[in-house]
Amino acid sequence: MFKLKNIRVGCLTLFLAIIMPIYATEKDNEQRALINQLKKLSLEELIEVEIFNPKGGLAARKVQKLTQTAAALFVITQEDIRRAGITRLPEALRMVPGVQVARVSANKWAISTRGFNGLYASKLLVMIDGRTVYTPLRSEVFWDVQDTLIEDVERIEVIRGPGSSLWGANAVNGVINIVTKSAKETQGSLITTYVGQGEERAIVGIRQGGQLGNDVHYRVYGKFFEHDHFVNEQGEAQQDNWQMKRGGFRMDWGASEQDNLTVQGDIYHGFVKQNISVFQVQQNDSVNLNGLNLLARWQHDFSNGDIRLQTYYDHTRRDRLILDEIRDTYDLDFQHRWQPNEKQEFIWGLGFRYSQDEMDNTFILSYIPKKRQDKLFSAFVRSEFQIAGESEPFGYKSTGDLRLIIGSKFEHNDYSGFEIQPTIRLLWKQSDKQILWAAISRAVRTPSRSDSDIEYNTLSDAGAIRITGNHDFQSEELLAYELGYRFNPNCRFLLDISLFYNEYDKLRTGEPIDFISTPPTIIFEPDNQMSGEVYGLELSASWKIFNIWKIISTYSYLDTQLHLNPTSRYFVKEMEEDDTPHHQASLRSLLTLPHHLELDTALYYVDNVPNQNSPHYTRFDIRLGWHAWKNMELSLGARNLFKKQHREFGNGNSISTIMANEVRQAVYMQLKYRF
Amino acid sequence: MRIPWRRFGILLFLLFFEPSEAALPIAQEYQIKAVFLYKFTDFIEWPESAFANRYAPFNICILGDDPFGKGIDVALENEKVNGHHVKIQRLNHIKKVELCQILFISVSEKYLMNDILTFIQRYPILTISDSEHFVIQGGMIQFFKQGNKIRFYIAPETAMEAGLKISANLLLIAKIVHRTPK
Repeated sequence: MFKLKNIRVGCLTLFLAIIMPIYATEKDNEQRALINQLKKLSLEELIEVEIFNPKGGLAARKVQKLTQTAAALFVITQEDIRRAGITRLPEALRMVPGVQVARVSANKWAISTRGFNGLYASKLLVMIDGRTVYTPLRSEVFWDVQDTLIEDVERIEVIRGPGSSLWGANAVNGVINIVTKSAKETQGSLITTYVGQGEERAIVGIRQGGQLGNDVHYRVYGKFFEHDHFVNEQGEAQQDNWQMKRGGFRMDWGASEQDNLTVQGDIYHGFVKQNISVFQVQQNDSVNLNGLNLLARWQHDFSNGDIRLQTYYDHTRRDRLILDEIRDTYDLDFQHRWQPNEKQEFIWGLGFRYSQDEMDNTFILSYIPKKRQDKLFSAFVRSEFQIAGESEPFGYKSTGDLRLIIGSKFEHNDYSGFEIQPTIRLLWKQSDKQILWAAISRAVRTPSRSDSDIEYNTLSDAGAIRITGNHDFQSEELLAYELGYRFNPNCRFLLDISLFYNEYDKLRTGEPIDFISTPPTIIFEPDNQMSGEVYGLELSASWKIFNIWKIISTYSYLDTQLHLNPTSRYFVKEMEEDDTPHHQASLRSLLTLPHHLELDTALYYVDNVPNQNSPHYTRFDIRLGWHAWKNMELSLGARNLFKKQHREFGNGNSISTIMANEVRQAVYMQLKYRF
Repeated sequence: MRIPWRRFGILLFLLFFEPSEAALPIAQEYQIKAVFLYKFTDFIEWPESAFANRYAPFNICILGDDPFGKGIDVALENEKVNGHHVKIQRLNHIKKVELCQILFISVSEKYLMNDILTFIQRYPILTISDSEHFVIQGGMIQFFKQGNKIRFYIAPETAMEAGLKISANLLLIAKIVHRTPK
């Protein structure tokens, strides 16, 4: 006979029994409403319902549905990246309305949101898994070293408009959060290979995921790529090819039901080649790039909130012909979210960052002092209150819900001292289908090491120029007014509109302060002698017409008006108004065909950029994907199909040494194998 | 060719404003799974012999650690399956299992899985679990996660052998697992 066994009642039941009474009534009603909603779905819909994942969601420092954010948020998913055949993170950003992506050369991008684009675009904060990659050297993002195995990216959250009340200084015009998958989601092995011409020549990536015991998941990856060169206006090859080796790991430990520990790190080594003009003599510079980072994050969930503690170390080194830079950053970040009930929520946090650098100065470019240690202290609070309407669990079945969000970041940095960056937002959920939001925020771009300490000697057409740092350079300031509307009538259609009016003050200018006669040299220093307005509109619509066909289109309009102070003698005048295209549009189509085929096309239009001598252009990308077997995917694709080459950005009026090149047509073949 | 604008217009209207299709909610994993359990009752037919009599309840049993909490009680309160009132039973013992129509076996029982499944083989009980390899071990429906969505495997032969009829519509959505013949 079969032997019967006693079955023990485990700790989980016990745990639920203890927890349940604490938030019985309110949570019960929520749960009831949600379950009734789920019960009304068909089976086909039910399998599409997403699991609430409290470990995700970085854009608002908390978990949130896209359609419920009181900010201009756009999310690029792994599926978007895969179907567009994207191999580099900055290239994915072309999909986002209101983001300006222009390739300056094979390894340089000018990327900004809501204007002020440039090779050293300073008003966009970028983070990868919570680690900031915005460098304080010259307030920019070195896009060439921001990379990972692209298949491991879960999503890219892009917020246009100030995110400074949560993320602090320099999130002036936008915040980009690149989020990689948890190790649990990247189990098994992946081999990815890519061969092409025009952009990457070859990419080889390998990832191995595994499990240690029941609760620890890990992955390790390695990647190598070699990128083709771009061309000049005449179509001649330029020396701006580059390559990089990179490796990394991530470990996620679900220590308990409530605790999660993530440890991750990357290491890379490579070079980029660039044509530079030093004293009007063109030279080729091979820049060595090295870096490594290590991050640990612990999250503990309570029944009505969570706490998160994160720390990281980041080391970068760039050896250029005219300057070597070594930078080490240590960062500590704590936050506590507390949601006593559906009607209110509080988040507060504290942060500390220590960044030290060491420059190997040359006569052309130097920083004084040569070494510098900077400390950044920060704190933020944010609270959300329901001021009218019914509470609604997980954001559906609503009968109108008006929420007020107020918050601010308080920071102290070694350049401009104390900074306050508040925001006030209103979110009105008219129903589960329509949302209206409005916001007024203040943000600052704090002075960079360059603004304060640079000494740069160059030759212009008008003679010798020296730029020296200004210790009294102040933060650039923004007061932003935003309005947004989302229409989500069903899960097939989403329309997102945002309008903004940005008022800037104390914008950076270069002011002549002195003249030396031998040799004749004009000395400039950065100053804050410009104000301006930028206003615009961003639209995006995604429409799943059939289960097999989805189209996504975006449009954005932007206009910049700058005003120099009467006392200013900025040689560039107000020409930076024309650094950003007025109109941008895109149309993507994702079509699933029989026989496991996918046909994906993307059309991008970018208006001319007069100040960078770049005419308007239309680019067309196409990809044919074939899931040959369950675990093997083959893609063939082409980028910039319409034109053999085109210019996206130039040297403009900047006194940069970098020479701009033109983007080429590219073709590729990609093979991914999972086992 | 004349373009049927009218029909096109109606199509457009339906695509945008189909009233039943609200935006999909986000839910906890076991809230979704609880609703799946409820949904399955529409697509599976139990033989009359599964019930003691006409008035016998339809028992949904959870064996081992209960991952659902109150969610499953909420999902199934006041529901009926073919005229039988649904009752949720939490079992810590396999003895009374013959009274169940649906048996959800918690992952906490994964080391006893073979014994449990062998024991209930002869009863018309729909067996469901999250436990890995459940359908291969002889279970009928196994939940798994695809990204952050919940999908399931079905072993139709196992269900058929137990006297359950599974609707083709359910099989269409599931991933079918055929047991390798022994």
